Amino acid sequence: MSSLVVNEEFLGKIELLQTLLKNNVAGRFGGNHQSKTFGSSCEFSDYRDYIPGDDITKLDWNAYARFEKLYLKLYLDERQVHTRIYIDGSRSMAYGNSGKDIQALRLAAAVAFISVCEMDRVSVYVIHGNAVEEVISNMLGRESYYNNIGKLNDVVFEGDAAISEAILPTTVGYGDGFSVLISDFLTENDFGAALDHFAGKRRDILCMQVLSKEELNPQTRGKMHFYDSENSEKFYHRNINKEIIRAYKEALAYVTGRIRDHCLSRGGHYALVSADEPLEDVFLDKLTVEGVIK
Amino acid sequence: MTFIYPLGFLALAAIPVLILIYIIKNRYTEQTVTSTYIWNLSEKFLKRRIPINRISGLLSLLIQILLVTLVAFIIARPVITLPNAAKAYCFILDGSGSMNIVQDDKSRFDIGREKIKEIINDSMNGSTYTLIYAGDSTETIFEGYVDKERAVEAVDNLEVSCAAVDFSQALLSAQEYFNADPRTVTYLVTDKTYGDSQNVNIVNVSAESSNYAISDIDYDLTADRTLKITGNVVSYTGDAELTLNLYLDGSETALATVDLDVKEAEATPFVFEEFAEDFFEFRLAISESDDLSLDSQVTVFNIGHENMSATLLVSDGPIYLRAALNAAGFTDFKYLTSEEYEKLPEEERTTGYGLYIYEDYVPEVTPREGAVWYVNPDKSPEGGNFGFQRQESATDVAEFNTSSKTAVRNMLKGVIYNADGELLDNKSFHISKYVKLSVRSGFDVYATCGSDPLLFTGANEYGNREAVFAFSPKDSADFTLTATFVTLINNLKNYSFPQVVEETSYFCGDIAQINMIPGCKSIRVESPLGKVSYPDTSTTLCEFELKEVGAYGIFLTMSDDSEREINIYVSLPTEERVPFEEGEAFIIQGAAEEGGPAGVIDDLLIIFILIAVVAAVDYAVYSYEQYQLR
Repeated sequence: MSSLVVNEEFLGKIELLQTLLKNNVAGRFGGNHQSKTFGSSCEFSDYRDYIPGDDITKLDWNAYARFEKLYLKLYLDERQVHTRIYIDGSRSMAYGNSGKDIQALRLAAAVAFISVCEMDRVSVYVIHGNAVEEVISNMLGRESYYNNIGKLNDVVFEGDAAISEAILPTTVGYGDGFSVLISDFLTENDFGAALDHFAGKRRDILCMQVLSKEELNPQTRGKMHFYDSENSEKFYHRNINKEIIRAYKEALAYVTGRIRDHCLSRGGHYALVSADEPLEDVFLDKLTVEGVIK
Repeated sequence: MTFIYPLGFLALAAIPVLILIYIIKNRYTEQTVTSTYIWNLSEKFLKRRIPINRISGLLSLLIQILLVTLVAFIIARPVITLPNAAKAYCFILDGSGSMNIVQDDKSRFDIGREKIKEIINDSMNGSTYTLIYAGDSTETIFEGYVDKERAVEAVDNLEVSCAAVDFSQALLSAQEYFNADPRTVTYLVTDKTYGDSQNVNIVNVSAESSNYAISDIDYDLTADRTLKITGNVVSYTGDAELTLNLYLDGSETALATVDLDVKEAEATPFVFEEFAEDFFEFRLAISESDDLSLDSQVTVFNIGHENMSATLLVSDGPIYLRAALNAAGFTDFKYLTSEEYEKLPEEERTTGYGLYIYEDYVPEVTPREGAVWYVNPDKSPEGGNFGFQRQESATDVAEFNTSSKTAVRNMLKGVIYNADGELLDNKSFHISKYVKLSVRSGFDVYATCGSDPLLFTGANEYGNREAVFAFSPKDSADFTLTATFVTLINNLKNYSFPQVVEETSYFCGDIAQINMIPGCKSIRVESPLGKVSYPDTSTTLCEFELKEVGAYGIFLTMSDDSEREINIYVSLPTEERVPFEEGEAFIIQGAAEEGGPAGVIDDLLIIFILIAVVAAVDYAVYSYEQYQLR
């Protein structure tokens, strides 16, 4: 844990927050998240007419005495949520001193901490190429968190990452919590299919796009020949001037807007995070505003 | 197109250097970034780029190459030659006296010069310029100049004369140039009007002008000391009421004034009669101003004062000689005995007179200036060119030189011939005794007794004229009381007092003549405008041309370094006083042809400089924009 930047003080602040989960949670019991389905918790929800075969212990006899009709008391079901965190493990996340890799790991650690504090199960995956590699599996409770979170230090960022192609063949769960995707999304590879897949599985979606300061506001000027860190055959050759910078920013806005729109249209959430942005600001301000945390 | 300095293109060698620097400096910086995705995507968001922007990367290099090229061109001085586009100009500039007339604060001559300079400056480069100046002399000032500045400078250096001008020589010169090149364009810049002209463009610089003039001045100082001055006043442009003032001896206050009602172009006479004991000079001036001041005043110098005629007679018995001197017209002479003479300071004994006459006496010191007569000398004089031998009785008949040789007779005419050109009467030449003198070479002998000289003249060692009478007038009364002797004395007076100048009034363009008097080492002439000249004094008659209107000062430096001043006055020629003179036809014979020398456009320099400046500014702006991008 010492190698992670997420420190105890930070964890102390965010553990008081709860992730806001939508009502369509389907999962195991035991979690602190209420389901829209009726279950065996002690929290009364509604009545319905008795149907033969129902558990007669749930009949409301007081209502029968008043209305002479059998009503069955319904209680909200409480399910344990499984938060699945996917980290883009491509080389673009770690090249140079951008700090996107560190920020991505911090975000993953923080989200995982919040989840385990909610008594959720947490799994962390890294996407390399067309595969999803499980880093932490079914982490439950703080003890498990502290035992396993250090595995994030072993994550290597290299190669490229085909998000959709990697996620689609995997088991992503059904209706049992958040699917958090942390990436810079600077790829021509498709990621929309993955988001659609999450939505199809009734998973809550949170896309966290991590970009470096230079990517958000390039300072480079003059005649440049850029090579792509993931693929040296890709390059960009141009005299960087004011006009190019303007076009770049428009392109960046287009990309981030496209991702945001895609997420929102699937009932998900989107957060653009700068690599040097303090996590406190991300979680206490940005995600709170987004409604992810309350 | 040709180039004056083709080596200037060596500057183009800088272009490869610039390109090399550009290649080295302008390489793209390679850098690996996390992703080129956004960068490549940004291409779709670029505005449609205009074609010129595609070379924006090369703009800096292109501007630098352009600058270097321009600099090379500037150094190489390109010249564009246009066949037959230029002209051969021949200017004839009138420098006569009437060109001094002032119009709108400028003389006609200045206006004429400006016209010529204007034509030169407006002409195409490559033209040739020839200028014939017709002033006090006609001369070609420059011929075939192609350099405008040089031609204009030569025009600026010209000065107007005051003389009357005859254009015939200028016409001949212009005809020669025209014959040599029928394409020659001839301009005659003058204030005269020509009714007929051919192959010449007449630029008339005359305008409405007024002129009043004084002419035909004459004067006489009568025996009763009345100075009578006569002359005429003329108005050349309309009738006028004029006031004429007389000033005497440099006074600024008019001695007398006359008012004249002058009719146009008519000589209106005037007369001044004023008492004057004597005078050095008088000046006549018209009060009213006009456009030509040169002829509005005249100064006349008294010629008697200009030719010194004071005489000193030293004799202990001067009766006969004084009578002859008086009879011969010596009015300004002083008489002293030998005793009185010797008591005088040496300076007074040897200076201050035009003629020293010593009778029966020879001074110890011979005067250094003026002529000297020795009458019956009793010893050899200091510096004289003869030697005393002894007294002789006249046993032979005295007689004048009757040589038949032309050269000798011409020499004798001035002394022993009368006004009618006849030899003096020899019959009355009776003397009883004489002194025998040895005459050295260079003396002219006019009379002899036997073989001994009785009367001879020559120059002494100091260069002064010397006349020697080897007989005593007292002892030869039969001769000295005759008219022959008086004539002889009068002739010798003229010999002894050679007039420095024959007259004191001239017209501009005249030749002044100065008689080289004995003892004169050099002559300095100062013109009215202060120009100093030193005429040739190697001959007996010194001449120089009078080119300015006004008073000339003539300074004679004598053998003893003393200086004698003589003044003369030069007037504007009468024909130059007319403001609107009509000249004769000015016709250059022949058929004119079109064309001329090759025209040259070499003013491209300023264009290149302007382009270079604009390019430099553009480059600065471009650099600033590049700086702003960073």
